[in-house]
Amino acid sequence: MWLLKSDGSFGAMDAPAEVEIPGDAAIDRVPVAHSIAVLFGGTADGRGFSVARQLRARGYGGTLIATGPLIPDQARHAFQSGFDAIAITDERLERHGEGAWRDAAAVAVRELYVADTTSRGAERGIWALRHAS
Amino acid sequence: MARIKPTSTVFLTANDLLSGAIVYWTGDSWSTDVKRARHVSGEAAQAGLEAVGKAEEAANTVVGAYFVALDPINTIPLELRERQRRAGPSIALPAS
Amino acid sequence: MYQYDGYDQAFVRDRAAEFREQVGRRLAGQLSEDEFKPLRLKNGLYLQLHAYMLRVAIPYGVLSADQMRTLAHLADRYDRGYGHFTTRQNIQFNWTKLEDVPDMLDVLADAGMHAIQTSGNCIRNVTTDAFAGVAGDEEVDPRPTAELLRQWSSLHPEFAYLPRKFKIAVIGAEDDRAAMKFHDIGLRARPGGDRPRYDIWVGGGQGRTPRVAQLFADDVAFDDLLPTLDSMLRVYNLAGRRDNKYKARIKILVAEMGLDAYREAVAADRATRDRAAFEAARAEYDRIAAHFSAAAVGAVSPTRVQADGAFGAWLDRNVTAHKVEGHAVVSISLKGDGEIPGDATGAQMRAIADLAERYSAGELRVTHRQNLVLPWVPQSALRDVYAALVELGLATGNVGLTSDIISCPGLDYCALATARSIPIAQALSTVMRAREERALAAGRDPQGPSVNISGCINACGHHHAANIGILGLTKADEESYQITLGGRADQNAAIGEVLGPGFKAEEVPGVVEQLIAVWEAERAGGESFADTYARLGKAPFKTAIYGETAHVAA
Repeated sequence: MWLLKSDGSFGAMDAPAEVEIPGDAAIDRVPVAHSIAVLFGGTADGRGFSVARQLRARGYGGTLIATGPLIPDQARHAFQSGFDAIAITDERLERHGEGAWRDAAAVAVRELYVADTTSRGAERGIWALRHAS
Repeated sequence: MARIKPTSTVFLTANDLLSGAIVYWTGDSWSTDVKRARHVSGEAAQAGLEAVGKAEEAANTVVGAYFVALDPINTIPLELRERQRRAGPSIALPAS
Repeated sequence: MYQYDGYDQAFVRDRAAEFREQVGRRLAGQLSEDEFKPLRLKNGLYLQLHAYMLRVAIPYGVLSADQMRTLAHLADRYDRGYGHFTTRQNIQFNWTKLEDVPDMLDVLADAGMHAIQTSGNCIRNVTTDAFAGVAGDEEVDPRPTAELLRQWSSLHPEFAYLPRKFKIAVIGAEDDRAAMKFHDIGLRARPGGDRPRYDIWVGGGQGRTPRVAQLFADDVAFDDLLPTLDSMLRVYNLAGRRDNKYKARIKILVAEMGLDAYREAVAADRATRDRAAFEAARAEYDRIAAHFSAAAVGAVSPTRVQADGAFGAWLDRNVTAHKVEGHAVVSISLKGDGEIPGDATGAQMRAIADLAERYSAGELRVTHRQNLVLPWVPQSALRDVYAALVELGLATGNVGLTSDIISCPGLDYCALATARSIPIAQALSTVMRAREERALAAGRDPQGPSVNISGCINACGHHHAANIGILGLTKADEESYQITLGGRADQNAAIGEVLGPGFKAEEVPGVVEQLIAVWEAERAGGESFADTYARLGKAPFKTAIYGETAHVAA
């Protein structure tokens, strides 16, 4: 298992998250753990992004890891939704290419119009930039 | 790839990944000419063609490979959609 | 109109570059078709029945003369010389190649255009009243809100993998010219001081389960709009059904949860939000709104234009009252006798761009009824504009008449279609145009029912929302057309009811003529078809079509 972090670093995943929760429904409580893995149900299933934002909105400050069948193109979605990292299986690293994963955030559109306060992405938010004073 | 009754006559069709053009399996390659489509019948022949479709998709040459069932007498596709697909738009295109 | 600044420009360029890179990985086998498909769809690229189709966004239907020329260039250079304007104010190119699409996106980006979120399970192009900003009856210009929503929804990280597509429309007048209540979310903007206030409608839509939207909240303050929409989408993203694509739209979630429970879930989520992300929304709205100031085109002295004959009929049908003195709103019908609804050639696009430049402050609109609009024509230029349109063969004076038919591409192009739509529209347009010409020649009102045609149950041709709707289906491997009656897309939005068993393609024009004959015999005074239908119901129409002794299933 490999880990792509929101700061761009990439390496072997040392240890699994303390708890894993399914990324398939609204959360009813915030787990007490230093790290939480949110398991995505499929490449087309974007519920995990909302789960992450809900956890952040409710004040979760620990490490959030996206896990499941994600593709490099979803890395920015994960970071901008509040994930700190994405866990990548050997199979997916092999098929998508290590380069594609390492460069995932760099080749994606970097700037968004609205940057959420809980985002772990690099975007600053076009609205904020336009109206900074 | 949806299997069709093994008793039917079928051909294998797909779209070329790069151009999107409709293509037909001739037996050893893809052609845009429907007249060159290879017609097969029988379960074993269909299974062989199904394997071709999967391999070609995996090789990223075509997308969406599937069988089209043909009228055994005039070898025209049985389904309305497939007859339209084979024939192209039935209308005069605006710029032509 | 809105002009891109450096940020907008970089945004669309970056997306084009990202797509080029995604295509590269697809061709190299680093992305499977299953992985790539959502990515290409989110950039407007479909694989249709015969070829790849690229759907380009025309945000809220507004484009400049130069942008129209860019579309003409794409049609001529990368397609077969034409494009198709859609019911969601976009344009489709039917014959594109995957290998060309990155270049097409670069050309679009240079013109301040894109194909972002014109398909896929995400927030689609926001639509509005094609007469926004110029309509005489407008209370609030919906375009600044639509542009604000374009920016908020574009590449939204959380809502790119929704259960299903999500369509938003905004209007700012009592007259609904955008079918607002047939959208997943519909906004009715009202005057609210510095910025508008909004009624939010939810759960409308067509397709397999047509629904008129319900009122979610009224009189929502501007500051609450984006946090509310964000929470509405989040609840939908988390709770919307993903087990069955036909039950995945928000209308089903709202129906299954109940509107009150949905409201509570949205309120609960909204309460947890840090609104700092939306702090700049006011300043951004004001910045955008300044682009749409009508002061750029000032009032001119009014000119009274009156005429008989074809020009008079065109003035009656295709020219609408303007907000600014001395101007008129001119609709260009893409529904000439026997033509393909919404199609325009590259040459026509260029000629229309020239007209916009000369007579309409360089601005054009696309309507959800698949026509084009010159929104800023001085009344004194109406005669010249008409003469130019006659030259171009684009002077059909039928906007809002029966022959102004909405039609999806149907089985001539679409991979999902179950029957052809265009040939039905073409045949009907000839018959209906003849009826209108007869009425005009006899000095009668040419008005008639609206007719919309869809080539499958997904209802891109808005058949549910037409006075007479036509739905093409496959029955026993032949085309069969089902008729619905009584639908309407205006402020009294209603869903059409099925008349009875379907008809063969060649029977459809005759059936529509018979239905109109029933209305003409039964109508009280100047009653519209929809009002007559509302008063009498299905029975007299059904009897006329299927006979007294009909015991067919409805």
